[in-house]
Amino acid sequence: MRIENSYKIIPCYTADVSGVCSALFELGGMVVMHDPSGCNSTYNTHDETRWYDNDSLIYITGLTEMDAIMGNDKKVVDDVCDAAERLSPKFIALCGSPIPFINGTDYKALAVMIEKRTGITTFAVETNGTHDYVQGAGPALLRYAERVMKPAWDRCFQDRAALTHSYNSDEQAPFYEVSEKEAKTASSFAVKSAKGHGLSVNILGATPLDFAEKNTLYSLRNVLAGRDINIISIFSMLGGGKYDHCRDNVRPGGENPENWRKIYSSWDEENLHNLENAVFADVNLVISAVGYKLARFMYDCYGIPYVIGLPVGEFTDKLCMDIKKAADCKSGRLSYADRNLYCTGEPGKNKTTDDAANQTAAVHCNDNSAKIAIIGEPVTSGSIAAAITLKYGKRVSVLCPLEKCEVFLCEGDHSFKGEVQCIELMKKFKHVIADPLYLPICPETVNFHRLPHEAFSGRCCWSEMKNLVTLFDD
Amino acid sequence: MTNISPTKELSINIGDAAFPKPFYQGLEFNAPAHGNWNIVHIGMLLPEARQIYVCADNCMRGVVLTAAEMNAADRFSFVLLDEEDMTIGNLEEVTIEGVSECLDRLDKKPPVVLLFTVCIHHFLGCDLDYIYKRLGERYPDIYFCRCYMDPLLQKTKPTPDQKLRAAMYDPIKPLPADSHTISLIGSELPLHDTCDIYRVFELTSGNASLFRLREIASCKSYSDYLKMGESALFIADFPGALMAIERLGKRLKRPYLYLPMSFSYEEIEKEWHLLASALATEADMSSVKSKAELMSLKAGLCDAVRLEKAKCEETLTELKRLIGDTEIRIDYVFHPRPLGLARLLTEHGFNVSTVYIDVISAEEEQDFYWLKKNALKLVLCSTVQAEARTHERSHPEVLAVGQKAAWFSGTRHFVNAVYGGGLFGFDGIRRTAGLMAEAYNEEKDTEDLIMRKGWGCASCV
Repeated sequence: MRIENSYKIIPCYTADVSGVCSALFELGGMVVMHDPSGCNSTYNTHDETRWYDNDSLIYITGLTEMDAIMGNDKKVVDDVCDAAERLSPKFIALCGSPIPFINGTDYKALAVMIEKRTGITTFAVETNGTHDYVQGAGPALLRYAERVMKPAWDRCFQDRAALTHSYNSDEQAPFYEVSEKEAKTASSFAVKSAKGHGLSVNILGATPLDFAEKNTLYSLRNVLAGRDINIISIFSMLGGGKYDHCRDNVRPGGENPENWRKIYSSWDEENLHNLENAVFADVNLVISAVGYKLARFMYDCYGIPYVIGLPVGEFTDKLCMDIKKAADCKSGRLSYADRNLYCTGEPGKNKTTDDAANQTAAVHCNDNSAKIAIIGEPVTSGSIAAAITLKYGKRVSVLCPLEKCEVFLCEGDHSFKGEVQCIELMKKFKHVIADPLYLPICPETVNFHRLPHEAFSGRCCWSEMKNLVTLFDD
Repeated sequence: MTNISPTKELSINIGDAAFPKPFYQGLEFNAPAHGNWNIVHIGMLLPEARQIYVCADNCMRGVVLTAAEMNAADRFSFVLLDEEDMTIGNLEEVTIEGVSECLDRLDKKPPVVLLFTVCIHHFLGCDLDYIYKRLGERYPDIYFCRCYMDPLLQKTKPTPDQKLRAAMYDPIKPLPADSHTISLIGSELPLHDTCDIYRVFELTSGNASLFRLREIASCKSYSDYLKMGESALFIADFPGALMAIERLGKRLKRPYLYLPMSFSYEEIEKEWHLLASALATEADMSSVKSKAELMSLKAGLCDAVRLEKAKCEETLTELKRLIGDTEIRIDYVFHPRPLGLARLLTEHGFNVSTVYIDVISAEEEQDFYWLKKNALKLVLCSTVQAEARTHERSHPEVLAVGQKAAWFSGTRHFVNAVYGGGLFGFDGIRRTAGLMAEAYNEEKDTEDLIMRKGWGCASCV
């Protein structure tokens, strides 16, 4: 028996099914979980901060014992088609839970059948409820891109190639003088790139599961804009700070619910149009592990390089330089990968790294061994670790509890599974930064620092949720 | 009577509604009103018990965070199942060893464990008898309650919460019966100390304090809870507790009564007679009726009931004077008899426009057909149909009774309670009216209140 599967007190992370729902929540489609009645309550209670007011079409099939035994997929198809005909979603996504996994439900076939009947693009995201949210949200964005966005992207990509060539002239107007209508067309982006007026990026991997604090994306936008990097699209929190991610008393448009709903619906067409323009971006910025598969896809299909990292504190400049370098060289990187090189271990001596593009002066580290650990999603944690190292000269290790995230880890980082392994790792550090629900298992010799994570503690720590981008601003 | 089929529409006039399922069960939506209790909340009522769940991540997330939100994470453990656990065929071993690992890591073993197996165990034909036998051998000082988190079965068989309520009383052993001790079984919420039961105690014995009512919600310790075994009579007032009371009563060979919460004067009066008769004699229930007649004469039961009804009429008249023709919407979460409440209010001239309900209980069949005939404008509205998500929710003028009614209406004037809120009998009717008056007069922060799980439980949110 694997003891890593037994948990005495800490919770588990958001599961893959909920990850799918969270990733696709704002994209105008219908997401259907294949699971018994009431199981959707887990997602919309604990893992979806937007559920109260936003009319996103997330449903459950209400699977029963007899339907599971008899393989009554016809009911699923009929019910989904019926709902789709009434509600007209832009697309339909299917995902599943343990029982359909055990009885071998063929989601891909169901998707084909539904699409044939409704004429609505339908795809399946293979989940079974046993994996964490990254394994659901990441593939969900990828499948959405492949099935929904790719036709438009292919068209735009061809336009871009043609227009970049024809607009390569000093006489073209700079981007900010282009009319609003033109700004939404292919030409303006080609002009911008050709003229070098700032860079354009897509933000990949934005969900409330990792960025629950309501101002985070707004801060992200400002921080990048201040360094001449403009956001074309965000996959997939499109509101980008317009509405509450966490509960508080401040609402756009005042207290009238009708105003909120107008605001929420107004982002539909405008922001979905921005998603169509995503293929014009110079670089994709992957701010969490959720965005990685989509980044790889866009690189393979359209050659858009990606940089992995979140602008946090002192790490922001380094990250932005990597973005600019990626745009020039058409190759990407894990931006915080060399954070350990920032520490020289030699008092009073700065060291220039071998990476010519990284002009960040290395900081002196008081101690070359990492005594600080941060537990959580690897990209945000790695970025925060880099920011800490640059600001305080301390080495930081990332302890990652999520599956298949080794690609985001650096030397000195660790993956772990379960409570027991987590406790053993925590003992090696003097300070641990983690979600407050890890506190009960934190050894007494370790100083614990609270950093809530929606995908772990859900609603329990909403009042303490932090804006990761401005984490070190105070 | 014409055979009516369930509708696929979101709402339907009661005249056109089918019984007991007015709505077709297709894709389901889940409203953001979470005050109802789930199996975690219910299980935590058993003092000193530890809950252990064995299931996949997706299923576990909801229950483990329920425990965390009610500040009871230290009474909750789990075993997370992987893909291979569901495919290799060793689920018995995984369950036994995983539960053992959870228990071995505790500093102090609990006296009772509520062990929840899930849909997967059932679907894979897992040998639960073997599991419980082995665990019982390993931990002879722990009582393992057989609990289930298996919503896969809930539409055709007892629900997980019904089975839990039954299992929670399995550790109770029969103790010498005390003829003045009665236990309320299967209710999450304690009864108000003004409820009818105490009136019947008084009328039966002349002194209400002679009787003692035990409720799990009021038990402070495991030993306190075990004293329910000395009850001479078990009663239940909640439909979800029926399975529990039958099982307990038969096992302990004690008489039991099901006295459902109701808004019907006639039904409540019958319950008074039943209870009084049972209190007077713990014996043969078959002769209750004649004994009840004797009791009512002797104890002045009829006079007391008349007085209670008069008080209810007065309260309802005052309420009508206050709220006039304000539109009222009721949901099934507030009370297990939403149609009964709709009928009572309609009979007294209130403007009940909508009842939010998905399936109608057999107990409400008479109320359903009465409303069909007499409340021609009443609408039944589903809370789970797909279109419930996009249905417009801007009726701030509505007086809602229940959290879901409040959310669907978009109102800040609502009665915030679940499962009858500990209300019973004639007293329950008057208290309901009082809550409605309060809701009419005061605004509440709907979002803040209804998103909290387990109404009445601690909440860290």
